[in-house]
Amino acid sequence: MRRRKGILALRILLLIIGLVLIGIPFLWIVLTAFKEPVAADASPPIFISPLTLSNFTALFQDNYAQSLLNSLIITGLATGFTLIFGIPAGYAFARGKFRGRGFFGAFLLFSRMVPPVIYIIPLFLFFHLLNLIGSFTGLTLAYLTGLLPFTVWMSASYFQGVPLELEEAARVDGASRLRIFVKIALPLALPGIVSVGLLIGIAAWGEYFIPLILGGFSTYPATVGIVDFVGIDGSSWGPMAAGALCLIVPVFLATLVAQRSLIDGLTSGALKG
Amino acid sequence: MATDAAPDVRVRNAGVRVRNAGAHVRAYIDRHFLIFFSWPALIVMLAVTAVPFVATIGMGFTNYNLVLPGWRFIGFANFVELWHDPQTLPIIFNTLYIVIGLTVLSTALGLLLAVLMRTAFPGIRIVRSLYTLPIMTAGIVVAITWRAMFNNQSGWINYFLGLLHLPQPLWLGDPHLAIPVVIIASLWTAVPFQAILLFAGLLTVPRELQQAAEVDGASPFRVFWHVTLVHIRPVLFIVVLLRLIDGFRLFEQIQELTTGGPGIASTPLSLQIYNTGLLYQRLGYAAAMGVVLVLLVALTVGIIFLVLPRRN
Amino acid sequence: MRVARRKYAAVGAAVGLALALAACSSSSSTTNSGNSSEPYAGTTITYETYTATPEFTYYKSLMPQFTAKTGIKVNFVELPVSSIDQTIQLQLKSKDTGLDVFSYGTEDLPGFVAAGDVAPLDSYLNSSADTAATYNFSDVAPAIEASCQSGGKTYCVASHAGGALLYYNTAMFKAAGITSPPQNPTQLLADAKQLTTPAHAGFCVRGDKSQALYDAFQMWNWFIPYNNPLTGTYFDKSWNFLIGQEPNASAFGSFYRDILQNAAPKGIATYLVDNCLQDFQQGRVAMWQDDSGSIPLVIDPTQSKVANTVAFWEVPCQAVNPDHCALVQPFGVWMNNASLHKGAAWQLIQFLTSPATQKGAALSKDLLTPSRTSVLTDPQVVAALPPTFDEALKYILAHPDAALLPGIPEGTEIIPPIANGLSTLVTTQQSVASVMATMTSGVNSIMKQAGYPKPFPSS
Repeated sequence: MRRRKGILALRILLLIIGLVLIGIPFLWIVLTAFKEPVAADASPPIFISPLTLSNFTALFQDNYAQSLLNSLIITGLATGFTLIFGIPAGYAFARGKFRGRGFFGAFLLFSRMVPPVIYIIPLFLFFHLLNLIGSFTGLTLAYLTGLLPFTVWMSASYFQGVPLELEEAARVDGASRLRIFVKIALPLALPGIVSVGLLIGIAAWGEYFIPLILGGFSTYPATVGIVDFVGIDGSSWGPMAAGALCLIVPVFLATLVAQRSLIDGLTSGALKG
Repeated sequence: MATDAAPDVRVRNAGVRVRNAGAHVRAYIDRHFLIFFSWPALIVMLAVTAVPFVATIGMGFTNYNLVLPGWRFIGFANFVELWHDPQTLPIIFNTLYIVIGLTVLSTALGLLLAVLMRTAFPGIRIVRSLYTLPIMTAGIVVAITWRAMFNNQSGWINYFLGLLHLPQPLWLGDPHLAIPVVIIASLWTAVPFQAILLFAGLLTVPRELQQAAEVDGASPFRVFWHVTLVHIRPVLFIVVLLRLIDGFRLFEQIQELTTGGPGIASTPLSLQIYNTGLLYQRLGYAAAMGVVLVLLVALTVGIIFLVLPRRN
Repeated sequence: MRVARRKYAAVGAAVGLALALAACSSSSSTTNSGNSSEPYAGTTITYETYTATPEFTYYKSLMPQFTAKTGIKVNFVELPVSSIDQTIQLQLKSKDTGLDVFSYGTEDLPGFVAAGDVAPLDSYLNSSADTAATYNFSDVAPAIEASCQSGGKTYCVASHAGGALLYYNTAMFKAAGITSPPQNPTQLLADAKQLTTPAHAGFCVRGDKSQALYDAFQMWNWFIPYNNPLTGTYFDKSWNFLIGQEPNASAFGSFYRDILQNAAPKGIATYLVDNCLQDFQQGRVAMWQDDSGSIPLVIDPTQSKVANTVAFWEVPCQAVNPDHCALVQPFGVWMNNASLHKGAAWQLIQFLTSPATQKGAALSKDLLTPSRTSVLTDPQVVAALPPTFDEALKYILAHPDAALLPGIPEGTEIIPPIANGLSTLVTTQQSVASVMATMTSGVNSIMKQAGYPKPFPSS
């Protein structure tokens, strides 16, 4: 019994140490966001210094509110369309052979393996031909290609968890496959779908490189807005930390609200993947 | 009336109703249902990526330059130049160093964390969700923050090391520390990610299996090693594979953290492609590097498939 | 099947919405409803420039004035440094009509001209209908404007002429007993070592490889001869690589290694402009060699602890290069050759680089290095500049080297071997001579592949 208690105490201690390590960078962001820049780079580090909101002022004078709005729009569009295209595709993968399945599967794997930096320039020129640069449409399309593989894989594994017998019973009774999908498969896999949606939403919210190259002045998301403060002759870390804080807080809140769903989402996929 | 019927009766009725209305189109859709469901996604992906992918491969055989006018096919000249470039080997080494180091460490530490997450005590749920926070943080934010923390003079890491009277290494100036810096900063996100996935895997291990082994007199450690770990092999495989593939894609994090320096000490292939193509504007040469990178990833994935056990 | 129809309808609506969004995102519109005094009234043009730069923020504040005067609306776009270089290149390359005017360094001039990316401005400069008499183009310091010109034509108007100079901390100098800033590299090295104490390092310069030579080329001008305005200290007219020629090569290499390994902050090999800037602002380094563009950040008390103890100095030219040792980094305002509103674009360029605008920017301390001689010598402006900077600036403009990179299309291609060599000098103990030799052969092989030696361009 004593040994059990000792091990329990050790485990809790390790978990707490881990949490502290996880938390320190967040602490840096919060502290820096409210400091004057001159106090932010001091050595040895000054932890507490007069609080100021000037970084946030600088941030919002730089149109950061617009960037945050853009982040919201892009994330919404990208997540929505990815789900619209990806969930049905995942179902198809889970449910059997169809023409092009092998190719599609291989292509999904391939496109995940290729870092965007490799094809971003031809993509820019291609989008430019179609007048899509700097448009939400173009950005959504580009995000789609990054988020679809994950969505298809994960939703396939959730649909695999829906018992085939249920669907077959309905089939015997003459229901069309579409109806089966909508009435049976989708509702049962819904928790997983929601988590996938949350995960790709978070991924879209944090995307930086694609909008950097393919975005336009009026469509830059907040991740690009942060680097507005990296100038040619020097950077301002205060506003950057303030911007980082604004980026993190919505995700933090979403996490709190959807805790269980998120962990379920991250975990169930791996089980069947 | 339908509301009181059993579920399968409702479905049966629905099926009959459906079949009586506009049967032909629906039958067609039904027959080719899987295609209707999957091809839109495939078409979208192909439409957006096929042209750029092919263009990139093609560019690898030209001397296309972002600033200079005119270009022509030069056959394999880029690849020959890559072969002779003294930087190629160190950069490939860096790439593998980062990928393998990150995968191994994040999986091992993630496994440890996953085991710890099984601890039952009040508040474990909150602790688990707190651990998911790094995963939610944008890559660019991670890089900026860690760069500040590793700063040789004003960074917190050296400050705390100093407080503990430990040596304060030159994190951002020592070529030998460059990749460890990248790995440490990446672990902050990667360990929780692996942990969550492995934690789920651990949840699937049937209690009976573990209890049976314990009854047979095996120590907890042996139970874990021979029973639990074997059972979660499929999960481990996926987790390792995903982490490996993502390791090759690391780019803006490294760029903001160490700019690939000092020199090329922490430059992996993805960053070198960016520098060559967008900084030095030699897009043809960069595209050739891109082809090499894809081949490298494919090779590594292939080896993993061959070597790691997937079945339990 | 209602669901299926709804689903396909949704997809159809999405596609329709997508196309509509694409159509809505184009930038320029044209309605030419001008009268003779405002011939371009109603036009909208797009101007792209950098974020986080006081000079451009000032120009932005003047846009309402510009629109009121000319009727031209300006889409004033600020892009982050990390994307603007690629974005502008890509836009020029794809002949994007959505870009009319942009601010950019002059180092890519040869490539721009060769590809026909930028429009020559001479026809506008010479026409009294387009250019007011008060504009006075020749007032723009010729040595600086030269880096905007090629083949006898003018492609941009230089808006600011930053120069490389030495920022130094007067309090630290006093504490070390050094009475005046260094007169030559040897003294600089000695002072730097003397100023290296446990509390602060002696000397900082950008050492990171990604800085496209912004580090060393501010310093090799004290060791390498300047040959001609086109290829500066890089090549002579027979395309010999001057930086690699002994004994200058080893003299520079040894100096560079010595000062950065023994008198610079630890980790100098990864230093970006930010790192040197922060170290200097926080009093962690006594001297910093860099572009004058960071001055506003150093004299701002909310960002800098040394705001009141900083002074500026230009290390005098040495015998090997007596007249062109001060690196000048002009920024120009350019016109996209694919622009559909060139007339209106010229009006904006004229406005941004006019004497009135520059004087206003200088007086409000947003532009410390105007390109116009009349502005530089204006007593009001001189009074507004930080003390000691005026003297340094005068020296810079009297001894300019505007060839940041050789003025040939391959100018940016020779960066990698040079940058690698510089990094190797600092991070290893490999012999200086061999490092410089490797650098030279790297540059030479690139030049050879590009077909050099070629006849030297006439201007």
